[in-house]
Amino acid sequence: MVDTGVGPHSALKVKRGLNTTAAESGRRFRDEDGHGSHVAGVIASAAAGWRRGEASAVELHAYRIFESGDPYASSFAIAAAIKDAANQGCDLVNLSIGDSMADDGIRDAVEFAWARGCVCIAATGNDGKGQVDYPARYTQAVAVSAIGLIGSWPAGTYLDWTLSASRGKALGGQESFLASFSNRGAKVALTAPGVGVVSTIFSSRWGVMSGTSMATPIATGVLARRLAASPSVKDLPRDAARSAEIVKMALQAAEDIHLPAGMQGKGLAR
Amino acid sequence: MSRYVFFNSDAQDAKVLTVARKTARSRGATAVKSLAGTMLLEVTPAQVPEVAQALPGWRYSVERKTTRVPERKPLERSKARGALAAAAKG
Repeated sequence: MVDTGVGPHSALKVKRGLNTTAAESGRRFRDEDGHGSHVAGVIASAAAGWRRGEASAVELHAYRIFESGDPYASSFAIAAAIKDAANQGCDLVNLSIGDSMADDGIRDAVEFAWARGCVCIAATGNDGKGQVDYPARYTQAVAVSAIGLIGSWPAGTYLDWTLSASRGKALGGQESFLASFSNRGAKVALTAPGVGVVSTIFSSRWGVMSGTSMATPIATGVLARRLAASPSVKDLPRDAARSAEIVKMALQAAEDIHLPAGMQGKGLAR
Repeated sequence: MSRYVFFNSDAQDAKVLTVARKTARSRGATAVKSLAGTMLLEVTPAQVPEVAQALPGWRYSVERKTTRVPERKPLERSKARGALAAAAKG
């Protein structure tokens, strides 16, 4: 995962951490923001019960691309992190980051990873607009939108603002909806829950966050689990054909939740 | 001085990257950081073409710092504030 860093958190085990910013030591991958830890926990939390991540057995590589106190990441830090992840043998790269503008270096990194059998899964963005952000908009990235479930929080409280009129089929008895903040468009490939997601934050605490940032690691974790159980794909040579097979597997497994394709892509990540 | 990201998918080997850094320095650039076939160079805009010419196979773009975590965008915060204000009034 390429984000604000990870941990420390008792439920998160990082196999390899690296800070790719220009100004900070490579060893400083600790999270000072909370976002990266939350994203990591959605995928890899080893806690018991409902706190367990989607794919708690993964080998988690944490790349910190944000310098301390800086809300913006350098295109260098992002591109270097993606390429290093691919070089290290990562199968999937979670990108819960967004930008309205394209960048040649980052696009090259996404393509570099793809050519090495490593697929980037990226957030569509939280502007509620009809165009997904970069890096999700790059051809070889898998763009993930966010849905919520009616009744999954107390009515009349803060999360009501995430409701939209775009309703999908019921999941577990609760009607689904496209989150009002979720960007949409032809590039959307998958959707996943992104409203009121509970996960790890720094200092071994737990917190609630909403966003396509949270939906993306659900899709990444689900796909990681599926990939681990699919040796015919996992053991393919690490090249572009492997990446294509990984994406094909993810799209084929998606569940149609009856939202328009521009909102759900092929459907809910399964 | 401005900062540029130079990248070359065929330069993953550390030795190749070291040679590229030396070449860039010899053309007046400062190598800020390099990793995985990617170099962050500080160089004047006027010098960039010369540096690029000395590094065949490398492409470059201006370093940009516009990517952030999406939920920190103002829209969500303003919506959240609006919802909270509405709830307070109600």
